[in-house]
Amino acid sequence: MEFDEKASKYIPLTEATYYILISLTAPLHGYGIMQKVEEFSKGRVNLGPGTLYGALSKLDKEGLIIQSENDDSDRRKNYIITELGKTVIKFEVRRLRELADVGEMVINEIGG
Amino acid sequence: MGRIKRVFKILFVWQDEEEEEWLREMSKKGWLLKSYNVLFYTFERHEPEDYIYRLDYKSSLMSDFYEYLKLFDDAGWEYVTRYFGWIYFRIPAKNCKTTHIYTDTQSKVEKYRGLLKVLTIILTAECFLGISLFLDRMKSNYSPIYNFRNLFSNWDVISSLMIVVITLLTYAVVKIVQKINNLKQDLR
Repeated sequence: MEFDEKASKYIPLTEATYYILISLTAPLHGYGIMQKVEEFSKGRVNLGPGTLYGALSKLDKEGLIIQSENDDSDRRKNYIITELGKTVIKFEVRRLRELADVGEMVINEIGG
Repeated sequence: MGRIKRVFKILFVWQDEEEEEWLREMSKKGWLLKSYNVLFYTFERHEPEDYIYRLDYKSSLMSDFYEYLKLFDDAGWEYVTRYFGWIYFRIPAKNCKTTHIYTDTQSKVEKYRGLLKVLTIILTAECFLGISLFLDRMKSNYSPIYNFRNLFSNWDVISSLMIVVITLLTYAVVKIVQKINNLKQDLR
């Protein structure tokens, strides 16, 4: 799939970007994203609005997310992940799993 | 509307963090920022409360400025004022989920990159202006040849001002590059 080559350019992702991407499998706006990321990370990752705005702009520009239709009349922008974005997530999860698996193996060897 | 006071304070473009701290101290003394205009900060009297101030910098006009503000509003940050590319936000310290509007280093670097871009453009323009100004000053009424002696005999306030402006801008560029490099150290 032609996405694969394009997608691998984006790996590795920062924690903020990774969490924002995976929270956008359903349409969400800014505040919703902040809450979901906090939920996913069990309170460990809190996104500042400056960081969130920058990440959303960049992801939108790169085509990893796209603005979805607004059901609400307020000025909030809703975003959703694209097919390219989903491919990037798959690659990233694979990379993280590789890191975690090898790491766990070593920790077991050294009796951690 | 409460009592208003104007405070004169010189804070350079590379001192945004100092400015944030100072505005916070003022809020603890019961003065909230209302607006800023070239060296003068206008404050409004308020109950003393600990407010965290953060300055964002956006180098270009944003087509989605209202969506941008909404993101901050959703996170509890109040929009105070703006001055050229600088956008002022504050939040009561007791309410904030994050103490900063930027929670990862990469996005903070982007902010300063935008600032650096603008400073570099202005510095380049000033250098061109300076060169044409000094070339002009090197001429005399008696000969069309450029001469350094003419430059010094023709020296005036404008020439001095040009030197000061170029020096300040250069220093600003250096400080911001330093800031960016220090932040990048945290990344790797």
